[in-house]
Amino acid sequence: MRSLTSALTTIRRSPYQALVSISMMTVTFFVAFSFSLAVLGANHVLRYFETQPQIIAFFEIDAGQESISQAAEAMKKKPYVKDVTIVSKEEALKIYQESNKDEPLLLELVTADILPASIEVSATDINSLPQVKSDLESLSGVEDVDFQESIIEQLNRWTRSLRSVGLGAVVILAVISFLIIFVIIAMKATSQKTAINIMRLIGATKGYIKKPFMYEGMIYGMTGALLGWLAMYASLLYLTPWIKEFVGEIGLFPIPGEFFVYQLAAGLLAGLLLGGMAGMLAVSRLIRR
Amino acid sequence: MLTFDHVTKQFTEDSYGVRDITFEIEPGEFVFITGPSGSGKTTLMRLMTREYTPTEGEIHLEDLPVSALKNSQLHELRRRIGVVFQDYRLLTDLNVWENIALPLYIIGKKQAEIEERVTDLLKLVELTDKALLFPRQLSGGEAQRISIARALATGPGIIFADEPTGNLDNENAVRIGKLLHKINELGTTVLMATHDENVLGVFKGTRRMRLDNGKLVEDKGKKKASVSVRVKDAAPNSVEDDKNRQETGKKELETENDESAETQTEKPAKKGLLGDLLKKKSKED
Repeated sequence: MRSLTSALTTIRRSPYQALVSISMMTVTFFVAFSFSLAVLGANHVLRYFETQPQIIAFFEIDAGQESISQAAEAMKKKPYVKDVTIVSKEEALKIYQESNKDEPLLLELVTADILPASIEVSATDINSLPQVKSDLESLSGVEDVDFQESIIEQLNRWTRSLRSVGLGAVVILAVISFLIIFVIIAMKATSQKTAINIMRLIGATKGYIKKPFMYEGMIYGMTGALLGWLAMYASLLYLTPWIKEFVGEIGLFPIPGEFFVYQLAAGLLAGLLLGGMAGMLAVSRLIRR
Repeated sequence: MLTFDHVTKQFTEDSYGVRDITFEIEPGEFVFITGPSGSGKTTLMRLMTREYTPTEGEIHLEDLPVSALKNSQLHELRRRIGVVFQDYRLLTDLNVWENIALPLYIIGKKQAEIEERVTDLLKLVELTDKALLFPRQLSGGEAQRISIARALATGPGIIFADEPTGNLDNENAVRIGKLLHKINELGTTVLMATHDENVLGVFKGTRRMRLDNGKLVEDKGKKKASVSVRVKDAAPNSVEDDKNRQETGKKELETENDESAETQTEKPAKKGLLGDLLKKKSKED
């Protein structure tokens, strides 16, 4: 308790140094929380696309209903196929009409006869898509297979990149924050070198001397984490309408409340460790000397 | 008991702090360590508190082998020794009360106990009214008395005062000497490094170890304490009482010789005795 009071007193006596430390920590955690949110969103988007029909096999115009049903049944039996949907000529016309309802000219010219029937297949795993594609191509009556491989692959790559860039940025910022807290606390400890020596001489353990500095670092870390989280949350609330419009039908919202709780808890713990370690190492160097 | 057994501290090839020093100090003794500047008085203290490690020889404080202690055990040694410095070394950010309480916080005493102890010590050094002042607001003599109170806080068995009167005028120097004597009367072993003739003049007959160029050249009045314990006089009722007591003590000090001092020595020197005596005195008050 006394060590904590001592840490708070030191912070009060050097408010600008405290401000620098907390600001840097806030930026670090703001970026970390924002990236974790972005990664969550990207995963959502990826999952959305993964659950959509990923491969469409178009049948020849004169393909009979029976051969289409047989093809669908054959595909359903495959262990890596999650779902198979048959789209008949009539249903294809309805889809066409729906997507071109604003252009009557296009609608007039098209009838069900000229549209091919198709089956939409989704795989259990994104990695099985090439196999599904090859199976569909081998079926009789299939004229063309439309595989959105590039889109899925690209999304997957983006998500991986986002994770890597986010992690890299957070690690760099965390190292900078650590060094800033380390330097500031080391400066304070150096200015109290005489007091530290006296305390050592009157029987203080190294731990007793380190404690206030560790608490100071922890306070910087935890305050930075809390402020970073609040800034991230405020930004999210502000940007929600824009994000909703951007992602369209992909249901990113509402984000589960537990996610924010875990995020804040992890942030506070990371701030505690980061600040505490910086404080401890800063004063350890001095005590060792 | 404090024992130095053929202790040498060599800094460089031809520079020695102390050379082949051997002595024993019994519990409850009052010992002056004298000698000119650079004779090794401070080195002796630093060896005792393990700021320096001896190049040769062994140091023992009671059951603790000082020279062989690990760094992680140093606090155990330092809690047994109260140190008083020439330049007081009070923490400037802390007030008088907090400075005295600091060693008690360090050893994890409870708040109520700390308050009681600090109050007793402030009474002992007669600075109760200065409890809330900061070191820069104190005179040299007052700062040194606070430094002594801090050294006594944990009830150490031994106190080493390194030139405690070096920055003080004659009157304050003698006063500090008497205060240390009073503490010795309460059972604490006191080692006082000084070359202040005024102080030495007041305490004739007290054991003196003289260092010169790092060597122990004289050890007079060996193992003889100077005064006997009178519990009722342990803490002053008032400044006036204390003055009277100090005058009496001074006369006794001046008249007693080594032989009589030896027969008067009845001082128990257990750690924490000072606290018990002060408590007893407080109850009497």
